[in-house]
Amino acid sequence: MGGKSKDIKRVFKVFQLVDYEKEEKYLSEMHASGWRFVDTNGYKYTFERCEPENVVYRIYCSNLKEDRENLTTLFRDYGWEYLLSVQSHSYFRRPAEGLSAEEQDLFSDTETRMGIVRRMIFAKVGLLVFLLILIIVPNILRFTGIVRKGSEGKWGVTMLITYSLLLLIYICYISHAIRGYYRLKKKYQSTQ
Amino acid sequence: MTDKIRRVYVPMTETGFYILFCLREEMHGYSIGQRVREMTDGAVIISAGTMYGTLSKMEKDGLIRFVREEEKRKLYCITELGTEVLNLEIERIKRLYRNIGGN
Repeated sequence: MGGKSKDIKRVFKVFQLVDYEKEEKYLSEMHASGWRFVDTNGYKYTFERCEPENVVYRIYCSNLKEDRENLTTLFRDYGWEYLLSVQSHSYFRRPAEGLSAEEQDLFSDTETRMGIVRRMIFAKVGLLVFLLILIIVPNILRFTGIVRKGSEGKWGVTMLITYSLLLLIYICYISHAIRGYYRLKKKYQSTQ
Repeated sequence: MTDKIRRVYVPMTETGFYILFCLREEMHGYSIGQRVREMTDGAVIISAGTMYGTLSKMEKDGLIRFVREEEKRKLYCITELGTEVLNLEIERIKRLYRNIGGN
């Protein structure tokens, strides 16, 4: 068992949706340094020891209701190895050796690529904005009222601070996503 | 044909045009890619994600339809609406060609 655990590495790491290119790059770099990607649940990445190799990793974001088997079969036909899916993200890889830049890319046009990026980011941001309006904002208003009246003392203040912090985190996250989206858009539209 | 379809698909990208053009007979994604590569001597390459994304979108918009499955591969074929869009494009490209001095 002791010997085996040396060949397995677990890394805690979180990539934002807009940073999916960084994630792809990270997985490639790990593989090039002798750690093959085996599994992830979105924040914990598992690698196993392998021969260092130059491998391209790609993440494709599909609608959950889409037929995944059909998606993975098509990608396999193109030479991509299907690894796993976490929610709507599917992970693919293939050895980079001898591949043209086009073959290393999942997209040959900007339109489809942007469509996927938009879907990926706004599905998540949409949910966050929904929660923000439905839960956080009403609670902030409620606890502001309570604190003003001074009826609940410390508890009201604590809750108000908690929700305000949540609001701040949400705003940071959402603005990061939106800024990331425009950064990607600019990048893709200038390369073609 | 609705305005939305016209706005989105006319004029069409080269990728979209070739996919629709190939689907006058039933085919699956990868074979469309191969066919287009041959037809254009390798000038038009359609990558996996672009192929999948375009097929899904065209199916949703009713330009093509799912016919049957063969070894987990979905075979598609053009619909009446798709043919209408394709013909509009063919006419547009012919006009373009005539105007730049072709026959």
